[in-house]
Amino acid sequence: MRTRGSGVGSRGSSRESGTGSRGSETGNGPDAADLLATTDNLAGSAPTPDTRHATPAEPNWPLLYTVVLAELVTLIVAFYAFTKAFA
Amino acid sequence: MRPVDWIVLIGTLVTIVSYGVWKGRHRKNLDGYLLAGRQLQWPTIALSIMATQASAITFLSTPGQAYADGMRFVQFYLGLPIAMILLAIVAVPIYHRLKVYTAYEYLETRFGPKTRVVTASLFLAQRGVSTGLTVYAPAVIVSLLLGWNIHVTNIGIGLLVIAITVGGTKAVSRTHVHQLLIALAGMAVALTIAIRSLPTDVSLFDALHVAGKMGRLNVIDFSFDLKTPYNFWSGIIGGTLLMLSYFGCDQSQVQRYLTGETVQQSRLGLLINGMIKVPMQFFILFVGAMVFVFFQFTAPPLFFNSAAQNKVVKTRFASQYAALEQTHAATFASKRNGMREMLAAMHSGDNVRAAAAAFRVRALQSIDADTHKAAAALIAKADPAADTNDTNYVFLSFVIGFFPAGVVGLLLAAIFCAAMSATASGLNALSSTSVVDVYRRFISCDANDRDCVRMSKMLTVFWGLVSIGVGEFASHVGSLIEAVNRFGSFFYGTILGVFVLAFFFSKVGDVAAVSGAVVGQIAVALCAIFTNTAYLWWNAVGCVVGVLAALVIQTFLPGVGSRVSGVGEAET
Repeated sequence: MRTRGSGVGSRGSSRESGTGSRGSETGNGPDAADLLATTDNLAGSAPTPDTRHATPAEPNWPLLYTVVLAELVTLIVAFYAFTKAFA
Repeated sequence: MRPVDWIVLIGTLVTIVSYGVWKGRHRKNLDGYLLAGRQLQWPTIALSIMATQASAITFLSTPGQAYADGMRFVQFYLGLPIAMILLAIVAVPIYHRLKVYTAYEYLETRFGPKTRVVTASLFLAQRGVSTGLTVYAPAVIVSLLLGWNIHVTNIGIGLLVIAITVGGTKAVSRTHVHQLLIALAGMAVALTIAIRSLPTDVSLFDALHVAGKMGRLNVIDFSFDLKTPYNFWSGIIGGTLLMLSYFGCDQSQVQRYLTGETVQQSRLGLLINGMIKVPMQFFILFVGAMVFVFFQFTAPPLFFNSAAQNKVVKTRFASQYAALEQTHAATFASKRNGMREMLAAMHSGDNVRAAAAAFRVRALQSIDADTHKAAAALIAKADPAADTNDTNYVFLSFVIGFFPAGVVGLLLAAIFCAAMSATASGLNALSSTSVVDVYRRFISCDANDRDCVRMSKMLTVFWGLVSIGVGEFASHVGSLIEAVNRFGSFFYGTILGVFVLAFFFSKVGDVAAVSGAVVGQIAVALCAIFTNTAYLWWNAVGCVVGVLAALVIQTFLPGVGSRVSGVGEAET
């Protein structure tokens, strides 16, 4: 069992929730996959299939949550307008 | 049913079940069998979550709900996106980190065995009955309207679901994707046909005005009233708590996102569900609103449950019923004329005449509603066992009566797919909870994976037979979708309270949590029996009372340390 933060409101969340299952199971040091990806970026070359799989982009969670809430607010406003328009 | 309908229906079902059985082969270890090896990606998770919630009741009863009561039911789902966000932040990382098989397993690591047993038992009781209803609901409606034998239909659906579910969670989740897509395609076809079947001089815009003037487009209602079942506030507050409990503490949903390869995949699955579910429910309700408009220009039956209607005309109440039918026909003719007058006035820009016509049409609608009530009362007199709520029969009556050959088969396949998807998740979760929280925990603690998988398959069959049994005894449940939600709301608040204590109150121990749950459940029961409070608020009552009671009780008990972390705490 891991001993990092719960992934909630902690800085450890992104590592744990993202690629941790592949890259960082065995220790707290930098992932080999992360290093490979960094090397690729420095070299300006396309990532190999392996590194592409090992380092998927971590979503910007606060932004995603905001998008979901914004969609809800938009729907409520649209539904209200719909209700009033045909009442 | 014409031959082509049978071909479409049987072809679809055979394909789906064969696919499920094929996907479920070679599952030998418990992780692979119960959680699909924790390898699923977010699109499958999202669709599986949606398919689990969207049962046949959703597709049969929801359009009927819009027909009878308007689209305000969509407010029931307004809390869902909020709940998805909260669960993505709080529950998903904890469940993944602890690598639990069930939500109740987490409660033992946090509190102790008592809390795990109480919540798992509440789940097994509640979900056992609900799963039976999800089998029974389509069986009774389809059999009554098509003249099929109810017992054969009920047992047939149950056996099909068992065949898929025995294959394990991967089979269930993979078939969910296809089942949901077929069900939604069926509804899209239904909407298209409903709109195209309107008189040629009635446009979609006219149809919206007719539905709106008759109160069927009442999507949002901001008035605060504890006794109104669906308004903005009950949806946002009660709905959020209900969805938190359903998606966060009900194993039939938790199991769907525990299959995610990473926390990221599970979170994305939940969030996509949060974005799609509300528009999807709006769409299904909109189908019902358009069916309502269709029946403003085409005469509807006095009572949509044709089987009950056929019975009453063979009794001594036949002449009274015939008189009611005459009143209904006359009211319909006047109402249709009023509708046309209203639309003509609107087209000519005469708002005063349009408003006067709308007022007259609403008065006629009220008269027709009284005639309908009188018909239901006569049906109840003629046969006390008859279902006098015909809301659930509206949509399928429309499909059977007005759809072309082949499309009826597709719609029936869609309804059966929806029934199978929700029931499969229910059986899957009942089996998992029985094995993980009961069998492996208390009966055979040293059971290996192979034993557990074998026991899971046996328990899937057992719970499938229980569901068929519940279906055989179920009747008089009114609007089925409301019945299922009311039943769930009775328990969900209490269960949610226990999980809130687990996540956020590290000082509360096993005894206080269980005692709080008992107090919360009593509060919900009192609320349900002695007040007229709308059922969505029961979730808030159960949760808040349960949490407060546990906190108070804990102050009188010796202090406890958290066994496993909740939110934002270090593990011990």
